[in-house]
Amino acid sequence: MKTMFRLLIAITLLGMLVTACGAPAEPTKAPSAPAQTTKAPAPTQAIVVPPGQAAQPTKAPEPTKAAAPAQPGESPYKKYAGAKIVVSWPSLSHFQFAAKMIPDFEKETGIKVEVDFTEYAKLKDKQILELSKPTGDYDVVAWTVFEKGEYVAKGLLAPLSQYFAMPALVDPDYDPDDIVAGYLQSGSVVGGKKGYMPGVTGGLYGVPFGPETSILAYRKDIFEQNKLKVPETYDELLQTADWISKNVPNMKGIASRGASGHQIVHAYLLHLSPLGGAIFDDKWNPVFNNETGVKAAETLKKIMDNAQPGVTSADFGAETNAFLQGQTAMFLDAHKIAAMSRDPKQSKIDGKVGYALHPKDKTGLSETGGQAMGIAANSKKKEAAFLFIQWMTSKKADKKIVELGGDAIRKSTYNDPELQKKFPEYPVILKQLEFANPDWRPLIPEWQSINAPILGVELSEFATGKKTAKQALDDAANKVRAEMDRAGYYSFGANTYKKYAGAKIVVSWPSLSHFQFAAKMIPDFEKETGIKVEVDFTEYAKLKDKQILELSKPAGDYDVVAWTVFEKGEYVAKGMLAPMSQYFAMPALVDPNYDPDDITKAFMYSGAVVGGKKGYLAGPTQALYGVPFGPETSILAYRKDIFEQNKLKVPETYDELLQTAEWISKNVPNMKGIASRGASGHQIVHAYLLHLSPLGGAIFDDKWNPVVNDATGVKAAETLKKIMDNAQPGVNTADFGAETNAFLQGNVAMFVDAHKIAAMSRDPKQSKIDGKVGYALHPKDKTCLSETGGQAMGIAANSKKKEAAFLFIQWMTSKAQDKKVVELGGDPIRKSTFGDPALQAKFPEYPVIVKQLECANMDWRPLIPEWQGINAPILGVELSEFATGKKTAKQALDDAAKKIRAEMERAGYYGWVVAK
Amino acid sequence: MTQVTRVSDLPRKRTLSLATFGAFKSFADPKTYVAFLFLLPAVAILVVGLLVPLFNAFDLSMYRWSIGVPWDKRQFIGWAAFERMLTDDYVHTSIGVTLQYAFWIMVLEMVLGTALALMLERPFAGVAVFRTIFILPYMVSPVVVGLIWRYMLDARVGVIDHYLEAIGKALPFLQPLGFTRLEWLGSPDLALPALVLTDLWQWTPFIFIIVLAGLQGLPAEVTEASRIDGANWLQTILFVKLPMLRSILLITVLMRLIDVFKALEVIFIMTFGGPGLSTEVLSLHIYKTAFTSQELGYAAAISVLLIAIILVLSVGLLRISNPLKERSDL
Repeated sequence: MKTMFRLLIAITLLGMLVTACGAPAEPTKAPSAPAQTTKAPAPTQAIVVPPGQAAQPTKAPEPTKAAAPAQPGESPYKKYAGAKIVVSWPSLSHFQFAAKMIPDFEKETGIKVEVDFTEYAKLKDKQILELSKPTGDYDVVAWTVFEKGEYVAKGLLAPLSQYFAMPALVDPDYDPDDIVAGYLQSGSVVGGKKGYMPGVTGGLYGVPFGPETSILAYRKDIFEQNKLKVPETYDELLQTADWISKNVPNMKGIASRGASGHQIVHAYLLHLSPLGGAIFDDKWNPVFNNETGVKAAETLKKIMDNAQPGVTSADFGAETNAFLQGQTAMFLDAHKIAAMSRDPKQSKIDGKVGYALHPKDKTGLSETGGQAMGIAANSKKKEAAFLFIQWMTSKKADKKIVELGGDAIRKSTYNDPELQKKFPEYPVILKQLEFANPDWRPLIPEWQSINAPILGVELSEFATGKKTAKQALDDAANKVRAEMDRAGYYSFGANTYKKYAGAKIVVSWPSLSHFQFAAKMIPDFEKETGIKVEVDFTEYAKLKDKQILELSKPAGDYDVVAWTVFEKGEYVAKGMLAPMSQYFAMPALVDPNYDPDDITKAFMYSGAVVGGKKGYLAGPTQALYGVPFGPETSILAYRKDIFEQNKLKVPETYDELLQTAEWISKNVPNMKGIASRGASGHQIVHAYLLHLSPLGGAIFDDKWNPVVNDATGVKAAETLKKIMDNAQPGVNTADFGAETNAFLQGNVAMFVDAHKIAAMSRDPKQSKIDGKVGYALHPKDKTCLSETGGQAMGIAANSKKKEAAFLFIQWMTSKAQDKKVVELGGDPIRKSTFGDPALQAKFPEYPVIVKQLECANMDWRPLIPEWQGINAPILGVELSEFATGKKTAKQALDDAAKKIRAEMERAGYYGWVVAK
Repeated sequence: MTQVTRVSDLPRKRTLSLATFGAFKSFADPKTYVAFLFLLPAVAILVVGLLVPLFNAFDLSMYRWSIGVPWDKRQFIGWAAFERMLTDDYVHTSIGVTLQYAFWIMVLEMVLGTALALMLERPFAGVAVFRTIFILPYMVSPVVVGLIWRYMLDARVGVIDHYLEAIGKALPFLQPLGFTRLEWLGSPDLALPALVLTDLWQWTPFIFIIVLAGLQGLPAEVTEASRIDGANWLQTILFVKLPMLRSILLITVLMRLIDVFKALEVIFIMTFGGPGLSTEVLSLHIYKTAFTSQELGYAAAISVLLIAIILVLSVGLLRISNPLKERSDL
């Protein structure tokens, strides 16, 4: 018995030993489980990761843990070396050429790439299956542009904007503006106007890769022999096609698609757009059965009558083959024909082809199509996937792909004189792309059930003579309407809300006045929609900590969160917010009267747009992550009574401001010139930046070098000091509350900061100066730039009720509610509210704010994810050292710049120099 | 209902009857439970592989759901899909196309296959070669069949049109009879015949083999007796051989019928339902609704309809003549 007992103990001990040894070998657990780390060997050992496990990309997306800082000056690829990503590409020629570059990528980055080529026709089925699993096999997927709406609305793609919001990942030479806008918009921008067009609510989900537009290709030899003019209009096109079919032996006029389904719809839309028609009007009513639509169908019929034999069953392959084999004299479709005509394996006409613009009619609009590639939402290696996409679409790779036989996406490639010599179609394509129409087909999620299943059938019935054009299009229109009706496009309101009635969403708001006023509107929302709302008010200072905790859980408590604008970069880079663009890509959810263009641009961009230029500004790579709610800009508020009594001029420049402030401090009894913040940390930085921006300074230059310690930076610090010298007593510890209080209690005569001061001055509970306040623009110096700040609200990425959350945000920021929140005491976001004459009479600051917003600076502070480590911890300390006289301005700012550079280096901002 | 009673009546003599299944006490009898045990795997497979998917399809038809959307975000719509089906003229057209397609295939294949079998029934020089040649198409995968015929029937590069046109040019009076370049797969009048032709090419051999096997299993005495009785060749076939083959022919018809209603690959490759809806058989319409339109619920509802149609036709056919019953009478 004793032996047995000993044996058991021995086994148990052995088991414990094995487990203990196992713990450090499991690096993913070590940082998150402090209980176990105590048992792990020396902490240094936990950091030194064995080379084989150097890349732990699975860890990277974990929001709470920032990615392990790269070594100073380390290549941004190094962190991901050894990772293996799987790429799903269609087996189209462009992709096969591009695949030849992968070994170069692997060598340069150390990231392994496996390409899964799938037959074009089966691509979508396979991708949807993989992308909708909790964890799929694909990290990068390339889709055909018309799938983008469906993929995004179903949440299958990760917004590329999120990765452009991590400037350390972004190649400073990437230059997204160089990518042809028409391609970018048609292939990968989702959620803008109509859900699939560009617009302020849009977001970038990929980069075009193998895109196309339509041009006219013609047989130079045939045209010369017969002295034909290259058609410039549709009339000429039809005449020429007819003439050739009749007069050139063994040759038809023009190649066309015509097979039932997607193919004939493509051919129809190709002509519908230049003829000036469209599938839907602005209210989603089908209009393709109008006169223009019928004319387009008849035009298509005339073209098919002069097309290659078998056109009624011809797909793109048959169409191109007819032209390449010399059976037709013209070809009007994707510009890929140029590359194909040079391939001796498939073409008999190399050297005989000329190129011209897509013929015009009412418009010169051409199609946009082809593929784009992005990141799978269920990928575990999104950063590596991003680096792959960025590398493959860089300027260098774009030129190389073209030389291998693929298609360009960049203006710089099309404009390259060497390449233009080799590819005579390039100037034509570049010119044509100015007229590329991203709206030539409606890429809504429902398009799949309209395209082939309805239009494809009816157009085929017309083309094969079973129905007249009018009849076929009328029948199609009825069916399209029924389909749209089922999808809820005509019944926004009660019907939309019904689906979510009974759901309960939790909203995390700061306990600021605007939000407390807004909360009074919630019962109305609950009554109208049936969605229950619980607001969790958190003290402003604790808001971020609480939100980050909730948002980084697998399933958090919050569905809607409101953040202060400077958190947006960090929240998005950590993947804690769901892009609003995704919900604007579901037109059935979107209130047709929402009108996002009515929301003040400066507020929208500063509070809720992420991923554009520098990661936090507007730009082609941006996406929308929220809607401003309680936003602000800076204006000058002054005591009308004091200014009148002393015959003072309201300052328009910084010099005047400083003089006036000093004069008042000296000459008006019991009054100081101007209120200011000045407490160490975030407060003094805010005050400093408020003046730095109009003086023409900035924290960083375009290469992320800190320039805060240049002459302008020093001047701004000295300006701040002068202001603080004429500010309320105790300014060295003053936060926003103390600053406003000084003005509201009549201790100072001026106030330059957030425009919320206007609403506050009217509140008798906190203000003694109601009726005595005038408003003017933020004084100018080199620029007129004012700050932008306040809050915005969006959807938590880990919410399970995102649609209901979207409806809540949309309702709260609608035109009607924006007016209502103002009447309750809150701040508006919409131009229509600021411009309302009745409200302007009540709120005299409105005209000033509208004017000021034209000159609001979205770049007055760098809202990169690293800003949190720079703002209060570095600048806040150094500026305070200066303000309290411990250091000179230059000294303090030099020290700050040095620290900022180190911080940026740690975050990998300068690694791209090493990578090249 | 009568069907059921008949079936339950038929194995009366044997110990294993439906009646004994119901009575638990007879489970003590090893004969019963052993039989039950042996049946169990088959029943289990049927339940898992047939009844469960069937029930799932029915369940799915109650929702609006598309692939890629989390299952818990599906939207319950009740019978709306079935209501929509009643007024959806695409579904109605598709049923019509399916019935036409099935009718011509059944009639032509049965006649041709049986005729071929009768022709090659008796041994003559090279019969083995002929039999092998006739069976070859049956061994080709449907996708390949579709591709072969699609290219042969192509209006631009197809071999069939090439020769039709050549003949038409040589003998111009034949041109009005169709000896020109015909858009086989692009014409609403020719596409379905082209598909029927393709199916004939592939599946007639199947009928041929089965009927041939049946013919060879017939007792030689009977045909001999009929010949002695003075029946000529045609009479022997019509009144002796075919009636004796009746149950085999019926089973063949049933198998082909179910096959034809499920046919997808060849049509998928050759016309994908076009032009218009002229070759959109129900199974293809289901495929498109499910995977092109991404309306899986609606597709499931149409599938339920397809099952119902096949069931009605099969039961109808079995009621005309039930080979099972006839066999039991033997």
